Amino acid sequence: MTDTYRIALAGNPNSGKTTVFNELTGAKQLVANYPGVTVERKDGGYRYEGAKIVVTDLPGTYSLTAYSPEERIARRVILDEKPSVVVCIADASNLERNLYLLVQLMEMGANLVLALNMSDDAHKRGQRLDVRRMSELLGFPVIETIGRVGKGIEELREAIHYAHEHPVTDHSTGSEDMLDRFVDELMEKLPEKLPESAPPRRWLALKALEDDQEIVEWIQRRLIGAEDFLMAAREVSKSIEGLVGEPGEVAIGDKRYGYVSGLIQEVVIRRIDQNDRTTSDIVDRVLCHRLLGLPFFLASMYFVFWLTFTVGELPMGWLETLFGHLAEWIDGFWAGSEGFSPLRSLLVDGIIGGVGGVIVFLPNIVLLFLGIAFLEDSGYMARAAFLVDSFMHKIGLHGKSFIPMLTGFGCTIPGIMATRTLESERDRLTTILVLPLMSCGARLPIYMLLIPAFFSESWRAPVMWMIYMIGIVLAVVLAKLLRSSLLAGASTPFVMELPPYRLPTLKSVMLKMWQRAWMYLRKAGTVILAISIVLWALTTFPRKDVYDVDRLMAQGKSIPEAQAESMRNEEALLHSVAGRIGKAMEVVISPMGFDWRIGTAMIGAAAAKEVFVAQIGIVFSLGETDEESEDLHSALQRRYTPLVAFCIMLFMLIATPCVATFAVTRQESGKWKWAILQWGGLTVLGYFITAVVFQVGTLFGL
Amino acid sequence: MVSLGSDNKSGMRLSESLEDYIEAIHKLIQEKKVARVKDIARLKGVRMASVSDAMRKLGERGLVKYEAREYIELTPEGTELARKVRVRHELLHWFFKDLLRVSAVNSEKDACTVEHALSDEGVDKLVKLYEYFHLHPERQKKLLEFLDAGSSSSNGPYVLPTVCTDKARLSDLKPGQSAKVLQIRSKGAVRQRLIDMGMLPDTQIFLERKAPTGDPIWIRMKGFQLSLRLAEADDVQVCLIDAFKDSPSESEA
Repeated sequence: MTDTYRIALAGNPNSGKTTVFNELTGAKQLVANYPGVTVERKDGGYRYEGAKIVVTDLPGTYSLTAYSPEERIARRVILDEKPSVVVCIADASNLERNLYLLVQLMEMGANLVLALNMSDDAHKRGQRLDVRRMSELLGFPVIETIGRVGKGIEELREAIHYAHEHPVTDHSTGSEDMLDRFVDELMEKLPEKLPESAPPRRWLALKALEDDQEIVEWIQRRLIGAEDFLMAAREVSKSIEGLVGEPGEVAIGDKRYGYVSGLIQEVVIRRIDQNDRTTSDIVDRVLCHRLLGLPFFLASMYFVFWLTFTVGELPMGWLETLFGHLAEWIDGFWAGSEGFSPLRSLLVDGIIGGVGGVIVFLPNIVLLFLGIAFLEDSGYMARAAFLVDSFMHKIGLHGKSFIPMLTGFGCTIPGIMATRTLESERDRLTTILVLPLMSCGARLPIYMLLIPAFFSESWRAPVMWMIYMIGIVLAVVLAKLLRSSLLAGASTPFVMELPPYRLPTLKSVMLKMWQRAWMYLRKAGTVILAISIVLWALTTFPRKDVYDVDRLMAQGKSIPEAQAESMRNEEALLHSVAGRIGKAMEVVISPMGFDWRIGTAMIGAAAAKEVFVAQIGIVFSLGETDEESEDLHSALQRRYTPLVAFCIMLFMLIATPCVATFAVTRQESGKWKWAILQWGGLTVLGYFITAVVFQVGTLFGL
Repeated sequence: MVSLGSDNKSGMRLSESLEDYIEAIHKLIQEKKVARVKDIARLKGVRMASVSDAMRKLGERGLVKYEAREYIELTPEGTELARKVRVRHELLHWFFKDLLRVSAVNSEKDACTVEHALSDEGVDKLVKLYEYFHLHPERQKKLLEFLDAGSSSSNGPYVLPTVCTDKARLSDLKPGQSAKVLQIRSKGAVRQRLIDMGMLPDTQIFLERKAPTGDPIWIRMKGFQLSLRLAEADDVQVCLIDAFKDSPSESEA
């Protein structure tokens, strides 16, 4: 007989909860969203002694109030899904605050297991705990774990199973005092019979005292005599305030921390010396120094881009060669056959040319994500938010907006999704609207194609840096404008933990990198493949049978064959659907220095930025013959100046956010209005700026 | 030392409720700059007529300036009395809370009850007793150990607190300074977050550094580190730790 049960992992942010989750479940994870809200849900599973255990990784929270979506989700899962066991992951070197969450889980009547994670760190800093005594006092299993190296995970599985078979849900949280008597008094005012799905009585009373909005609403909706009960709760809260001089929530917080500190007193044999400065503190003295902090931050960003750009070139070359051989190999099947073959053209020019041209940039994407994952997991990201908050705050945003924006350098989509951590709707909308200006990974292929083609070795990194900086500056200006016009209002709190630096584990960085690279590949495999085929068709059909060049040559004009061939290509593309659209657009885009070829390529880029590269590849290799195939770089160099190349990058940076961005903005903001405003506004802005840059640049003879 | 008995010029002690009124007016003036009959009535939960009555009595004793439908002002004597009442109240609170280790909730209640019931002499003697232990920390430690035997509610090393003589806002702290939390005046999400992080009255805070522009600030408390904006730190009342160290010599002077 197989037993199946659900468990949930709760814990503070930075308690190593995700690492424990990864260790418990392996890499097999299901990432989705909670229905109705936009917080990420992670599920996984494992087997223990024949039983099948389904694990839910709850969002990391410090508390279980109604103030943030994460906290509401966490407690809703515990109350509604009723997991058999709730594992509380606590950072062993920061017991006090981490156990505060445990007390709240005890109040909710959860069947608990406590995992003291990163116990090696705490041990190194001198802490000695009597874990057995702790477990005796709490009445449920307490396990020491080191998630990073997988130590204590087997014991944790065993403890979870034990708790599943011997549930304890009635917890006492400290000695009876005045507050308890007040809570008891209030509990008695609850109706005799509560609805089946109701939370524990005591918890309801506590939350009513805390004036928890979600619970108050629930009471109003579901309880008979709700108003009387809530009135009683307000009165009790007033009596507490009269006695302690502080409202109910402070007394409750005080009581919880009081219980925790009593517990710690009992089980701690030796404390961490708080005056001891750790390595992390010493590092911060330099990295977050008042004068050195910002330069270091800018330098670290520069380093990440250098890594992406310079180091990424090598594996990129290998992939290019690989796809070149693949194309040759497929071409071989048509050896000796004369004339145009639609299938050959589709495979070689459409699919390999399109999708291959995008996959080639995978090394760059992976390296960029590697850098970002490292910054995130090491704890530097929170420092970055601290260093830049005053700038973010000046433009009316939260330092936390910085993290979605930094994620936006990888991809706008997860960036927009990461804005869920922002509590204020206005902050969120502003961040979402300007996010496409954070140059995403999909624009990277465009830069990677154009920068080496048009700029000398020593100019490459600076030009790239400049493009990114332009995006950032524009985002700042735009956010400021939005916050003082359409989205005016007060700013949100900035109470943020600065976790100690930790060396990221290879496993978690790799997992993160893989998940993001996979997202990129999947996009290349599906959306981009489909678009590539459509674009190939657009640029191939209708076909031209008789070329003007051939007619001229037949009339006796002498044109070198190489030039004639390239003229034929141009004619063929002009004749195609895409060429006609591009040609029609030429009038509009010429002030930016763009010709119909660039216009044609941009038709695809409107759907997904990286398609620009695929399409410009098709534009320039159309109808190519083997002996005369040209390198894309030199084809571009022949036709355009560095100024035009720069303008292309600028326009691609600012204008026409991709289809996915449009869809996600619509989904996250809940209104078409914002998605349309974002797309239209950025496109107009991009057009205007690029045109000015081109005209001025031309004036100066660039 | 300053006598903490609340005798005024006439040498007569005020009744309990009149003292409470003086305290309420003082509090209102400090918080809202003005005190009106309406506000006092709301603060104390009594009818406006009762307030007017009490104001007249206080006016007769030269403690307040009061004319019907006007703002109420404290005379210099009234202000002095209000300050004394407050200091006495806080001292008694500390006496129960830190010397006798009565729980936070009960110590406040006890201080309220005792404050009006004791004679001036009794209060002065209690204050002397408090000062005695203040000047002899090792004896206070012994006392606490004695009181704690059989109870497990104490936490951490025994720090000897006194009435705070150097109140400040958390935002006033400079890097390297320490302070103890007195009161959180923030509202809503910020308030709940600060409580959840453990920023409760009596929590010790160390200001680690400020961001390049001076805002936000980076603090250390309860063994972890936190950042918050100056605007948020404005609403946290603290007592500078240096003030705690200085206060014994001050009270001796």
